Amino acid sequence: MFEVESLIGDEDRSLALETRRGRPIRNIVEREPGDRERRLYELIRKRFGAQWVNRKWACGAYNCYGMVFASRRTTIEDDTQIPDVLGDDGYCKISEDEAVVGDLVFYRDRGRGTLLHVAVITRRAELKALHALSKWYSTSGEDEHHIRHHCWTDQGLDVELEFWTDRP
Amino acid sequence: MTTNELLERISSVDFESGLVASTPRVLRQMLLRCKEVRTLRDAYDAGCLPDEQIRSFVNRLLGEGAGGDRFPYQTALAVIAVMFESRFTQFADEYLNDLARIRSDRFWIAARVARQCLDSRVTRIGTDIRQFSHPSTEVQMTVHWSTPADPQNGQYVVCEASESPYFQVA
Amino acid sequence: MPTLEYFVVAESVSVDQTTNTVSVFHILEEIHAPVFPFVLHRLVAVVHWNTESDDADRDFQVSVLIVFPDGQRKEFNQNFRMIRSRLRTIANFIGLQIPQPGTMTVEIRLNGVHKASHTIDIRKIEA
Repeated sequence: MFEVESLIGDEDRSLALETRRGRPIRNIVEREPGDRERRLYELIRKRFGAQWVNRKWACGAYNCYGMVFASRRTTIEDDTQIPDVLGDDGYCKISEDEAVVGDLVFYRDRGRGTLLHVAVITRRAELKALHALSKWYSTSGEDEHHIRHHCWTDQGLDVELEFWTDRP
Repeated sequence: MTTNELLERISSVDFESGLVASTPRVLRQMLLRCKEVRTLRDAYDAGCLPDEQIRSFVNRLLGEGAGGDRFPYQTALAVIAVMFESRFTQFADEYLNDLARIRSDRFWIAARVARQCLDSRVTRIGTDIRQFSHPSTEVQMTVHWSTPADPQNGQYVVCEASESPYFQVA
Repeated sequence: MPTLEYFVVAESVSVDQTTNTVSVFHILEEIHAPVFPFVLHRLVAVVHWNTESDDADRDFQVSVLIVFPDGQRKEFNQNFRMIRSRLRTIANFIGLQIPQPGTMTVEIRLNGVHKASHTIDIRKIEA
């Protein structure tokens, strides 16, 4: 199977990306979404994002980790590298109360301990509710949202939030 | 739901909207818990989802997705890869290895999921089988059995025959 | 060097191709035959090995040594590599001739080192 697909097409396009300590970070520059990906993003926003505020419509190139750690240049494809990135780049964990604009909120599947997503804190609204900016996946758009209004609310996942900062 | 309907479901936008995953690793973990994958695997094990049906479904998706910048049905390919992760048929091997081998970045997510499925299979148990045959030696064996001479009066006759080969294991 | 997890001698074994599970049928502990010599249609030796950290890229040889009741010895070798974390070696023997009643021993050696044995009593059925 996939004989033709194995022979034709461009190989993965990646950039030279490293942590502050020079550790290579595996990445791939995602292609632009087609009609079907745009319809998918619309459906996801309709399903989960009633209260999201859109900053940017569906686009390629980067995922959530790429938005945060690669300036929107590329998709960081392996989430198991993120702890190394955090360590090498001098991030440390903080509490939700300590988080301010520019800090990061990570979404983790508590059951498996897997990292699901990262977003950037954009503001603290009334009643101290934090809002963040997310690029949900590599062909989605960017949305600002309450940190607890995310894509996994009814997916049967036990999602826990972690807050990290590069502030000393 | 029939298997055709199930296959259509996994290639639908509605199905994908419940699998928001930032990386292929997260997508594979979500699919491992996904009920559609379990249902497909059960259908495959029961013989209700033949290899040919999967092959023609995938070929149809490849045809429909040809020409675009990015292959739009990567999640469907990943579903089948995860379904085959714990299955060791020849077709499962072929599917996973061929998908993992694709270098084109149009398929990078599905290919990465397939590679992770293969990595998981490496930790599974392997089997090495050898057969050692000996030429059948002609052995004269005597077999005794009893047969009723006259069922009415309960008389039995013991018969004897020399045949080869006959053996029995208790 | 791989470590032995289990070793069984039986009439037949099946490896389910969809689930990769092993089923062993009729473990051989004793065999009764009316006359000798007789031909044992099938005997299978199943060994499960666990790999150790230094086993990658090394060749191993499992030897199945059968000692018949008359003292005759036959050795059957199977070479393998530990390509996965665990491996079964299955040796099928078709048409073994059992010469006389007594004790038959099936021994497993790995690279010449004894690992396990299995004993089968061979008995004659008395008329």
